[in-house]
Amino acid sequence: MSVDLGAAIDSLAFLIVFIVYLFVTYRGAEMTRAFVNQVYRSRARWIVALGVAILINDVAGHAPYVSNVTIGGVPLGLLTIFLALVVAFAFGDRTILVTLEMDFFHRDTLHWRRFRYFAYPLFYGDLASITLLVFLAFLPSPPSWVSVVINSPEFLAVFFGLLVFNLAYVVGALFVGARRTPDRIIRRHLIILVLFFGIGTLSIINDFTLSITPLDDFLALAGAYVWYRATMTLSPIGRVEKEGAEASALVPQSGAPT
Amino acid sequence: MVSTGVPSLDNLLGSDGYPDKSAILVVGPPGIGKEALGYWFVRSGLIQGDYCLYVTHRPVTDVLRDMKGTGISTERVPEWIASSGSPIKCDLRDATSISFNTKEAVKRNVGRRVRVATDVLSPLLVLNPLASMYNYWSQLVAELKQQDSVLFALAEDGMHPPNVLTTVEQLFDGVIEMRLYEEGLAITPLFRVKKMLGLPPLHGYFRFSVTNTGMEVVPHVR
Repeated sequence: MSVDLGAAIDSLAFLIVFIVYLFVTYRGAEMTRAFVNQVYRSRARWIVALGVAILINDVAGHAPYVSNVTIGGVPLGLLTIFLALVVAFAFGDRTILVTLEMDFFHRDTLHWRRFRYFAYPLFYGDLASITLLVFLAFLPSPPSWVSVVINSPEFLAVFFGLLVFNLAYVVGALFVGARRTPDRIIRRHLIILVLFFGIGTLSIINDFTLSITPLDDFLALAGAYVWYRATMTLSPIGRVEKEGAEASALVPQSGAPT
Repeated sequence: MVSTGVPSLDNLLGSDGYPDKSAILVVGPPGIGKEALGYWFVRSGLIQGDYCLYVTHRPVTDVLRDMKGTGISTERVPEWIASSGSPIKCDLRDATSISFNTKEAVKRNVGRRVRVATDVLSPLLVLNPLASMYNYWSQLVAELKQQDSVLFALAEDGMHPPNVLTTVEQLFDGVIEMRLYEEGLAITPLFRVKKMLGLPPLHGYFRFSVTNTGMEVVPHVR
């Protein structure tokens, strides 16, 4: 009996990524409950939302049976990528707003407060247009202009250009926000998020253009690990040790002072 | 003694709350609820007719929104020294004016019990040398304690190296530390009283929760 090694690695990567995101999403939900401040509670909620979106995308793209599901002829996995992008952009926006609030001088990082009013329509409009075109393309008898548009280099350049431009702007604003954040723990959290968005952008480019499966698996695993680190650094978390220790049984972690 | 505004915390601290003429420091990461303790402290003062001053680097509207979010009515509000929305401005670049305005406000209310809550400790520590800030806060704390006042200050633990926090903690009569802890898969917000004037060391940790009707503190049972 021969074993397809590539498919086995792909399945294993999917399983690991799924477990990591499931765990991190649960942790995010726990943090939502634990935080008192509305801003941080909202941050934890967005972590849950993005985690769920990525889980859905992971299942839709890899799980047996589910990955064959189509909606209006369109593969479910393709639509869930768009869903993850919608949530990821909103997540990035909320995170940047938190960095603006944390800055002592409340500086408008890269004019984000103004930029977001243009960025939302641009980003979501971009995704909506490609979704519509994909649905049209999968019609039993698609209009002839659809394939012309989808395959035109100009359209692809505008689609990817807007996508990457907006994501790059998010990454830039997060990076500058991180540098301006006085809290070292949050700064580390933001830098890790920058890395996560970078990996996400590379993953999208690979998905839509190169489609190299080993690279896809590597980026998925790296993304899952980085996402785990990002969530764990949202707030320093100590660990309760076993009974029997002295009164100081709670040992702080994450490098935060006691 | 001065009520913390949280009955269960008052009980924990010997039924009456924070010591008179004291300075209390609450240390913890952002978002965990340090401010909520400050809001309940100020609210309690407003109800009892104390003069309450809130010194913040945030706009008044932000703080009021936060207060409402923690279930506190904003019908009665303290006097403000804030970055915007207050007659007296809080400019982090000008630590002297923050100290001067705070002391002047307290002096204008001699004869009344005074509660001062502030979140400017960490920003000022980040923006200024530790030595000068140590003198700054020790003078401010000493002058406020000459009046019948309690200072309630917040510090972000991620903003300072451990030695800075340890140094600053020495200026305060009471130190409360808040943070998240993990137990298995669950994450729980806990605090401990590191020191409190007039009280023996309080061992153990306490679970706290903030609801729309108030704040609850119970001993943490593992």
